[in-house]
Amino acid sequence: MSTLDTSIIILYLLSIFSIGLYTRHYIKDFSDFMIAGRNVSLALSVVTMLGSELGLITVMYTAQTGVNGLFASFHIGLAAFLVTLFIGLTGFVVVKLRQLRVKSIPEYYQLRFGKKVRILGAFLLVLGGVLNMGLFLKVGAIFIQAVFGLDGEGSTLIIIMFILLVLVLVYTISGGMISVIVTDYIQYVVLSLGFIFAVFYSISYFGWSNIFLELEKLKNYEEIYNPLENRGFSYISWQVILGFVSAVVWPTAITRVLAIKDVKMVKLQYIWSSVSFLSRFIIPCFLGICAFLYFDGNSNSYHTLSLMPMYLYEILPVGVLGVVVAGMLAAFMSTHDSYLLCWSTIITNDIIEPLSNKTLSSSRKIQITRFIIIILGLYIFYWGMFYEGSDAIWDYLGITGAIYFTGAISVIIFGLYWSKASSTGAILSLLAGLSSVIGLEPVRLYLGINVSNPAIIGLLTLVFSCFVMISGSLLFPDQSEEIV
Amino acid sequence: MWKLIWQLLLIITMILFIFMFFKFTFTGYKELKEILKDD
Repeated sequence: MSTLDTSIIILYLLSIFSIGLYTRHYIKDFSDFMIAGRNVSLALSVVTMLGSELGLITVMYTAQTGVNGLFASFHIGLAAFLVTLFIGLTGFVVVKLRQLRVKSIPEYYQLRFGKKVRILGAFLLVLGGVLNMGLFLKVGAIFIQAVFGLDGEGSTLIIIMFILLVLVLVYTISGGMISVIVTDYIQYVVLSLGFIFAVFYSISYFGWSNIFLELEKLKNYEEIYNPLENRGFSYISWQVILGFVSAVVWPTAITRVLAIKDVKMVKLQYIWSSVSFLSRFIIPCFLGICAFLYFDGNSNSYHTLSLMPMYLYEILPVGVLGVVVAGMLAAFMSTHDSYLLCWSTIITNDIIEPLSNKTLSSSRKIQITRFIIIILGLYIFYWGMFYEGSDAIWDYLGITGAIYFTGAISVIIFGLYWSKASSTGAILSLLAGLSSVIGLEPVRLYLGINVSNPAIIGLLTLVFSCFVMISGSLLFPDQSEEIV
Repeated sequence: MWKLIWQLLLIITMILFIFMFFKFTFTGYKELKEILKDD
């Protein structure tokens, strides 16, 4: 990498780091730390939602999906777009949640089903969420290793992971939601510019028609374009569920809704965010396809995750590469701080405080949250070093997230829209979601389950969770009147 | 048919993405200044 590119990256990261540290004095209480005092307007909410969701990890796994599934993978972005647009047009779930003025999903569980459901829901949410982000650090390190052309053997990856972890921890502990919003905004601007340039540069490099013609020489038409042939109906159905989860049930996304200033803005936020969810998938996926083409379809010779950064390193001109890589690294920090902040505040707000049976002061909660952030950081370092699964990252994320969201979907939807939903049904449904852990490759191998498509396990878990929610509620109705 | 759908989707995505970039970069900047000023 050239000196100019390296200088841009260092300068940019230092600036982002300084801004993050500077904004710490805006944190006055736990609400500022967790949801920016519920003071975020529409444009900023849309931008920061995209800033958080369009992290380096997203770019990497989406590009990997493009390398593996080519244009047929675009159906995932289309599903996310349609589902988010539907939510924006109808306000399904999100408007009701925002009207309740809760700070998190588990807080809603308590309002609707009581304290036990809140603690169990928060515990499973954290379990699924923390497992979900377990590979983030490793994926970030693979990006740096590939884009800087570093040797993949020995301890290089571990050293990169360690340096990244220290940067992320210092940054997240110091700030809070306000610094997340500021840096998400800057990252959005830089990364968007980088993306627009990378896409147009790739098209001019290959030529629009040649992209398709050359691909058709390497693979047959159905493999390139047809998602039904390429992936199957169960996989596509699973992507629709994941689209709903990414937009509504996943805490890092719903936090943006709960932080927005006015209930009336929620629908508009989702209508605009449908475009965000579309572009955050289609653009990196397209870059992955270009990487596949650049290396003549020889994706087996390299780690499929490394292909896109290697491609960017090869084609982008000096200066532009620095800006794109700096944007990606900022995106890496932005996703980590959002996720670490999200899980740690939920542990503090929805597990520790309810279990302590007293109201903790804001300063005490911020102290506890910062301590948990360090513990979570050490965990992702450990998990990145030792996890051996070989599922594509997108599939890994889907199935680990399912531990939380398969149960949560039915508890949230039935809780909001079905008056007979009971706390027993909610507990059974949340516990049923745990069974999706079977979809993880090491667990599948351990149990001797031979399923080529883990999406089937996710779908079955969702059906099972809904079934126990309904049957549990009918068989064991709540004795007291519902609170909401 | 699939090929045409994905080509159109890519073009529409890029147009919408660029439109959103200009719209939200400017309005987001104004809102960010307001938040920091309020505090």
